[in-house]
Amino acid sequence: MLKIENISVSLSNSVILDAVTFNMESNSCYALTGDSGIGKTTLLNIIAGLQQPSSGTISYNETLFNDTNTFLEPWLRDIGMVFQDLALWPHMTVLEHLNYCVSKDLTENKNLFIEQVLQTLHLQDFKNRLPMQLSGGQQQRLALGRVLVKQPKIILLDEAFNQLDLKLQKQMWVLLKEYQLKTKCIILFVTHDLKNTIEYVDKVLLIDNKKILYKT
Amino acid sequence: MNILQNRQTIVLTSFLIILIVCLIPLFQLALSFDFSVINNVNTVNLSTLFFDSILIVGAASLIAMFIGGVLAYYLATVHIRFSIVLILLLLTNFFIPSYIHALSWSRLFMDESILNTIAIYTGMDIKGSTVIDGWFGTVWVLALSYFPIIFVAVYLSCLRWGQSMQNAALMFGSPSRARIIRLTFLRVPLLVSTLLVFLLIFSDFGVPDLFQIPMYSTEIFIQLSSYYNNSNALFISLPYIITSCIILWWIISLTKKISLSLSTADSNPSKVRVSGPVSFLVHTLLYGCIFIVIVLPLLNLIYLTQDFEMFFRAFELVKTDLLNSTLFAGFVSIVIVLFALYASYGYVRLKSHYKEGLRIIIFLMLVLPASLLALSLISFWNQEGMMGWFYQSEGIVVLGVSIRWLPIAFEILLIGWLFVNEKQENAALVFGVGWWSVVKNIHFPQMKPFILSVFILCFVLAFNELTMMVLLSPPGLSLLPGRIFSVIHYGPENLLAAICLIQVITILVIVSSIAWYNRHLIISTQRA
Repeated sequence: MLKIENISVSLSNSVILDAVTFNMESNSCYALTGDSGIGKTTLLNIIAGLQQPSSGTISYNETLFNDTNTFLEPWLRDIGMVFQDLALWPHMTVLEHLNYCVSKDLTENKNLFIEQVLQTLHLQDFKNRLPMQLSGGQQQRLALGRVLVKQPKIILLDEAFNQLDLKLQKQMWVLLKEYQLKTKCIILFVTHDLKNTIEYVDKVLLIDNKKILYKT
Repeated sequence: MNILQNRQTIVLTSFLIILIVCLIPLFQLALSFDFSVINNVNTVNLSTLFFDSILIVGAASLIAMFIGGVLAYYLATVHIRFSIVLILLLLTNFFIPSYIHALSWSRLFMDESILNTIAIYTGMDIKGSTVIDGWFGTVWVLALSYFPIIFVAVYLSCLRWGQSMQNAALMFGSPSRARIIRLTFLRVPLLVSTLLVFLLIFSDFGVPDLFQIPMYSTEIFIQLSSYYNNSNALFISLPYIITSCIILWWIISLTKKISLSLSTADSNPSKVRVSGPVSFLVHTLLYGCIFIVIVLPLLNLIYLTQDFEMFFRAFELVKTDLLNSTLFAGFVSIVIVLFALYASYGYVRLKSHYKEGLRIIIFLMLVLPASLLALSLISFWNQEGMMGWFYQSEGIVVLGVSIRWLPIAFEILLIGWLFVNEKQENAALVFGVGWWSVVKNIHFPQMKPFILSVFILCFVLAFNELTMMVLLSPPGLSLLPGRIFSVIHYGPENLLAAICLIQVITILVIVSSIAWYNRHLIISTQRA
């Protein structure tokens, strides 16, 4: 279980999040929604270890991610993330992206596993291309591929599918759900488009007035 | 300490190092200022010196802007035969120090020069002509030495004008109107590079010294080396520093406009094909211009050397200096690249309005006259004990030259870091196995072209640096620019020409070798 307790964030004397507290169960999928600029990406960054909160605690099962004295580095948190603007590395090919991100525990059959992920994401014909040579949808699939090859316990998706058509969105969700079934991971999905997401998520979290409001 | 705190530490330590190494000596110099010199300074002479310097530097910058701008525009937009060769020749000019240009041009009408020999052969009488001399010579040679900077800036900006921009411009008007829109796109880089050239010409010492024209750089040098009058040197530097600061502020505010439009390039529109008399005119203009600007002074140096024997004798004479200069320039370039990488990374990742302070402190080193910078280092390090030991060593020259050229390296690497944004780094932190994997796989591959260009640039600047060498070199350290400086006054002409030629050839060989060795990198950067 991922526990977020009393997380507060202030930037330039203005409070972005105020004592946000919620738990996320393993093998569950959550949608995080709210107005633009309300702090959704900030919350994701804090969970991933890319930003430090002003106060509060984050822990996953027995592992403490963050409190006043502790800070677990991002690469030790077992998290995979699809960033809002994808943050692909322009100098690396599709294959190099996946090689960089592939789980370090996977010593045998690493290449076979990467090939499988490429096939699942329909990227096998583009594996030697640079991100700038891919379409918007292919880039988004590559960003998701980075997450899948890492095999993390927590997946954070920051408006990950907004460039995909509905058919492809559905395919990606099926893929994520299959992965979740195998690994019992937690998925936190930031979205503005609840209408097309609601059928895939277990709970919706709404950020309003610097707090989290639960919805079922 | 975690990764987020590490980024802040990098910023703070880079501030601290700059403060200690650069600013404390300058503060100490300012504190030792003797106010009585204000009453003794002849203000009429000072204002004459100031306006004369501004006129020369302004005229040279305008000529450089015209030559660099026109050549870059035509080579980037018009289909010119052998354009790559022309571009390489133009870049060659950048690697030749201004004092070698001055030497070659000042001797172009001498009895033994190539022009005079041709004139005699063709029956013309140009003997005794001294056209390339004095004020005119200074302006002309300074313009020719520095115009490649403007050429590179405008040429690269022309390449950033994409097909989509061209289509948009054509949609709203005729081709001539589209050309005007394209020219306005080049306005900012043209202005920025011209202002940068203005600053560099303002601090040039070799050319006015050779043509014996009183300018700020030479006057400050004379106050230091002939009269040992630190306060006077500091006082007369003030108008120079204020002018440079104003120009610097202008450059910084203009560069913000450039960085905002970094991501606008797509495929370039095809070059215009000219034919008939227009083609003849354009080709004659470009080839003629490049011949006069680059080929003629180099040919003159070769001609003045007279024979191979003199060339080899000169080589025997300066081979130790050559080795010293190469090792020195290589070491200085590594120091500059490492620190500039460190400081520029800290600058781009710091989220504070105060970070402009770091940029201004670094840039201050470029706007200060080199002789004043050297003076501050002398008065700070020339002490008993460990500091004295450092002052007596080669380290003081390394420090001086590194401080002088750090701003250029810092600014180029800042552009590089714009391509390696924080999002990419964050993604690598989430998916990687530590900070080192981010540096190795994300930072270094993307920064490599910038690191390489900065290394080459700093190597050339350090190899050719004259003022710092003359003022800071400890006894026993003999470097090539210093040797040229002494041969100018005491050596025979053919020996001087041969040494200059050796310096030019050495730089070109080293730079071309580095570029050739990394050709795959340059090609991939161009593709990207």
